[in-house]
Amino acid sequence: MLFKNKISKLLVMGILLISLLVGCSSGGKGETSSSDINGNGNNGPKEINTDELIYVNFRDIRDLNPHIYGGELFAQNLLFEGLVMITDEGIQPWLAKDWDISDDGRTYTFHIRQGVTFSDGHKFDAHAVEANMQAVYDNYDRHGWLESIRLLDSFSAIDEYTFEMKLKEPYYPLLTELAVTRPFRFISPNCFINGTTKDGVDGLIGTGKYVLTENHIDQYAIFDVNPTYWGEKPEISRIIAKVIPDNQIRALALEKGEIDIIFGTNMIDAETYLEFSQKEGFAASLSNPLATRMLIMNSTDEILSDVNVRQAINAAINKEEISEGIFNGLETPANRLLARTVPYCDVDLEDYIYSLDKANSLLEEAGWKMNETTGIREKDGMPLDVQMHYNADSVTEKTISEYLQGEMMEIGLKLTITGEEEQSYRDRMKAGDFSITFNISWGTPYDPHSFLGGMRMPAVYGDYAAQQGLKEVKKLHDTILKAFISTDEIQRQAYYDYILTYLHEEAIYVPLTFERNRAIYNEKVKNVTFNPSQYEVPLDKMYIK
Amino acid sequence: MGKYIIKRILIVLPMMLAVSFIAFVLINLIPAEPAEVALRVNDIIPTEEAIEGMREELGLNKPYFQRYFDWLRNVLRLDFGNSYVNKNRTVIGEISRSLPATLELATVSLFIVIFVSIPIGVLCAVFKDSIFDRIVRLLIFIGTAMPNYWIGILLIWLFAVKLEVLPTGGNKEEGAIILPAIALSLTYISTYVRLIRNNMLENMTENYVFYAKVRGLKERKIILKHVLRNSLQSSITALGMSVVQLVSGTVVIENIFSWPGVGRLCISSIFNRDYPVIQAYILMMGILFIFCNLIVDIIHHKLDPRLHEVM
Amino acid sequence: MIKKLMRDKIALITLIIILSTMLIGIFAEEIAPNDPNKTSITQKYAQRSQEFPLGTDHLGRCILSRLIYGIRPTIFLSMFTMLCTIILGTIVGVTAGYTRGIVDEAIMRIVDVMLSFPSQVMILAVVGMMGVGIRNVIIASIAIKWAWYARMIRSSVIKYNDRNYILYSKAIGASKGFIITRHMLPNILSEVIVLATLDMGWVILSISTLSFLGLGVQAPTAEWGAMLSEAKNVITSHPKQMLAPGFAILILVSSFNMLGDSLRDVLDPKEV
Repeated sequence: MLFKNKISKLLVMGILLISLLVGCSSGGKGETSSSDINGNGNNGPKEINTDELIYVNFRDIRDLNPHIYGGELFAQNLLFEGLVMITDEGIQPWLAKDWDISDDGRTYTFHIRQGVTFSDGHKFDAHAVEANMQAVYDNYDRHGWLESIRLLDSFSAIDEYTFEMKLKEPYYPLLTELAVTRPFRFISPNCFINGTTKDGVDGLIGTGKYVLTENHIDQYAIFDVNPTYWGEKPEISRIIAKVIPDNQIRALALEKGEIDIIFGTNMIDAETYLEFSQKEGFAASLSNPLATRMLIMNSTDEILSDVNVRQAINAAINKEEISEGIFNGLETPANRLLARTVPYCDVDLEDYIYSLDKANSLLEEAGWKMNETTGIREKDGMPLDVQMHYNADSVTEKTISEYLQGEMMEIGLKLTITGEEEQSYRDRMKAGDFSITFNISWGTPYDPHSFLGGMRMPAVYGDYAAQQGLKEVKKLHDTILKAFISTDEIQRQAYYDYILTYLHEEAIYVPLTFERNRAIYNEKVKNVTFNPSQYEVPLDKMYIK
Repeated sequence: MGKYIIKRILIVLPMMLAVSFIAFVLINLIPAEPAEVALRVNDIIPTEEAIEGMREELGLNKPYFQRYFDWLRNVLRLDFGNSYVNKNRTVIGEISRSLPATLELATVSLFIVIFVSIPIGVLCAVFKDSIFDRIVRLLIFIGTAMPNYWIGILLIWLFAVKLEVLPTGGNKEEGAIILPAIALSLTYISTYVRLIRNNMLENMTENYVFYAKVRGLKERKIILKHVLRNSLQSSITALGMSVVQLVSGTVVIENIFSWPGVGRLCISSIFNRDYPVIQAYILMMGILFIFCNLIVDIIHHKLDPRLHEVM
Repeated sequence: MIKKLMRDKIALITLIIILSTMLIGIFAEEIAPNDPNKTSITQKYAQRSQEFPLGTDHLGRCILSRLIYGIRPTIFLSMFTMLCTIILGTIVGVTAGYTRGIVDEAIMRIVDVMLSFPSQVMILAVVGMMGVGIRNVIIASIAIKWAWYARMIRSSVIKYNDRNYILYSKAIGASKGFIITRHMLPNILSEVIVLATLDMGWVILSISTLSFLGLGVQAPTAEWGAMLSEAKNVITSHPKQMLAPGFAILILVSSFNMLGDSLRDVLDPKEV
């Protein structure tokens, strides 16, 4: 009995002691780690720190190797620069101070900016460009969406500051593809593994305005201004990119002042935007329309292979209501695949106007008769039941799906909706294993060429698979390529006319809204702007006051 | 006694083997081809050759049991291979990176559980059927019936948004651990208050308490010295088991509070189909469970002489 | 036993709550004021009104109707899960307990292994590997729970095996099936019911947790956990949305827990 009691006493004491020790050590750890980032998110009155901006992302920055696609774009943009950049005024010089294009449109000669070094001191010159280009080319298979890699004939450094690229065919969007965040950005050759970047990199050294100082996986990353930056240095000397996966918690953190800005379409839903745009001490910004949010229908599907059914669905969707009801007017209704403002897309097309009568009569015409007891149309005993998949991680897609499900019942179409996590959802799209699903155009500056170019490639998105049931699919895909390699503006426009008209008439896409980029932020953050690409976050242009 | 411990330890080995086999077998429940998944998560077009190449790389074309033993051999060297998603990160690296945060959270929660449930449980037993006891019992019922994710959200809403006293999440701010630890511990507090209360009441009806009373000892002394001690013994074994429950139960809480632990790693691996990470997570939890079981059993055995005869 | 239970006020109240919830669920079509999946986006986040007694959600759907329809997946899927678990557990447990010997040994080792995974981990693992969806959640829940029942039922079978009336039945040559169904099961059943009642709360919580994480019931099916998950998406702008489904889960689960407790008190008077 005595022995037993002693042991139990010891045990209780032991547990208490261990818990105490751990409790103390964890408390101590908390203090040290909070002190090294200035503890801006702490309680009490805050002094405005004008040197530091706390940005937030929904996941870790992951692998920032600029030549592959596994990292967060905002972070890659801070570290790595390209030869040219896209601005609202078009293509502008960046690491190339200017360039020449041969008359046949096949040879591009870049004059490299002098006096630029990577942040590890390695000189940036034409040889560094060549090494990076080679590294990208080594991973040819990964760049399936990128026409410029497929059309690339040769490239080389002519001299220290001249770099030349030769194409097999003229390809007008080349400069745009060189400007977008990946893969044509430059990392110090010192970071290459086995002379290339295909198998990873052992450092993240670029020429950009910021350098990555610390990364605590899944917690936060710290970017400090690059002391040796060749151009004008940004106002904010330190950017802390926190990771907060949950939508609402992010909004709460902004409200509490733990973070300064939330940026991006996927990060802010319409309700939150509305709330913060009215909240005192906060501001909200909205970009111009960027990309088209749409549905894509699989033309090889048993039911959807009939163009009448596809047109009926197009006519049965009330885009105004989606725009107002779901997006609070943040996104404007879209009646065409690509907005008229997109290059080459100012083509006259007859809009599908919301009309349930039209939709019903199209379905009647296609032989789908209403079964009054179930409220679902039938043909040869088969009900009009269509599967729709959506990305369960996206709040808006889920809402739209549920909304559409209700709406489609009005025309006797049963929409069975299934949400899947992002990875399987994307796999399903690429494999073409869907009837209806969501799709989005790539947005400026990728539109129209990357979006249309992607249609020609299996396994980029779902477009290729969905178009396989179209009669003129081969002609469509050939014409897309012809438009790219055409050097004659009028001819090129004619090709685009055909592509856009054909896609519109076949109605395999249901444009829903034009997506706009958005940001909500603490009002101390100034100059919140949007780059042409929705994937870039112009953190370098912001300042705090 | 020593015999029992040896026997008990010997059982652990086949158990671990079986657990490892289940963790391995689970991969085969996947409706898709793992090689294809590994390609797709890296945006590589899964052509026939690419799949074949990846099967080769992952060793999927070997016979089933050979694959298991290869895997097991690597696992014994703590080599779980590399993550599918971040190919340059090892699985063991990912887990050892996130485990400390989870352990920290679980320990603080355990601390809270012990320090809250023991006094409340004792008070409830001493003042059985008083208003205090009734209120606590009601709260306990609510505590066990509330989904802990709801508790988490309510806590965030109350303390972080309305009162602005604590951060919403993350683990670098001061006091960030408080809310998740409370959210995690509430369910267990309910369980243990109930357990301790019942143990105490049961012990109070035992003969020795009666004898002590007869001998004229003060009631408070009896409670503190004998009843509490005896009740705690049985509670401790239960507490030991809940260590694993706490570690594995952090999944939801970690996701709500952006706590960078293994639970969040597990969920993101599920969403990204990072099978090697899921596999390692399952195995780790299974083995942790077995060992906690073992320790608890041995302690239990030492504490309770009645068990000696049975064995 | 039932008489005793009726005297317990708490048990009676909880029983009434559970039964009436189930009835409401069964007659959802008649009781619910609106179609639970009927969206009217222009009326989203409406306040309480004659038409929508509890207001509307982000798609303008009637929250009360969704709560009522949500009873079906919440209670009935959980009950289905428990039923499958009990059946499986009973078959395995009785087999092991009655045959003993090597079969028993083998079964119990499997049970031990199954029990050596924490439940939440196992569910996540199965859902993670087999994919998201309510079917897999149910399979996973059964997969982890059956072992508990098998173990418990086995020990009961062994306990009762030595009772006099069973020894007597054996002596007069009653068949195994007769002994099991007429003598063993009724005895074991009462213990199983207590455990199952207590576990119902656990199953409801676990299904709703997975739906909350987006791994369980899929839209637009109204399920309380999924409703809470939707409410969580607007916690800053419309915090009231999380009250109705939250309280619904709370009341139902605590009813099951209290009922289970009372049942145990009635069956096992020694327990305080």
